[in-house]
Amino acid sequence: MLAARVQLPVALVVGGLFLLEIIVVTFGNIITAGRKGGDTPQAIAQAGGNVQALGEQLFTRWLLPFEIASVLLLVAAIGALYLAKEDL
Amino acid sequence: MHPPLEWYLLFSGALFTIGLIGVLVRRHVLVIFMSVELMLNACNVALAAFGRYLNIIDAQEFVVFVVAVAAAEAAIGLAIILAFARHKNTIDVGEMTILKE
Repeated sequence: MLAARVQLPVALVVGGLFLLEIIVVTFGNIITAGRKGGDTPQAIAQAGGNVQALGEQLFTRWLLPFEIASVLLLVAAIGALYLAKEDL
Repeated sequence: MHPPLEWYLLFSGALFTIGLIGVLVRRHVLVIFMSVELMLNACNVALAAFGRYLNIIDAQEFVVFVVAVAAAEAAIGLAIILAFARHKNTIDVGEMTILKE
């Protein structure tokens, strides 16, 4: 079998890459969990309130995910209409 | 003034447990579907609470996206349940074995 012969070297390469990633994440000082961010209640109040800050972030930094989510909702609506047809 | 983080996590865990028990115990497919949504929203509560605790507003953006994806999932799930009910004339989960064949 070709797959059985190829499997071991591919598994070794992938496993080595994951080990390298674990080492980099563990010792590379890139973990941000537990660090406090800058969006304190005072900063949010200065930006004009929670909804204002949220909307501004949503339409600037997260604009592409927002558009993708809208396309996903459109696809879901069309798919639901197709699945709910009388003569499926 | 504001409740501490642990209260939110307890609330989230209670919601998740209620949803899990609902999925495992109930036989009606719509109730199971509602319980799945309950578990999803429990995770949302925990995400928002951690975002507020760590002063990161991105968590609330992610909550918005999770709600959008949950809406899409609810639409597709209800359509599948509708198609199944038309196909088999029942919505009992014991009858949902067509993927086993």
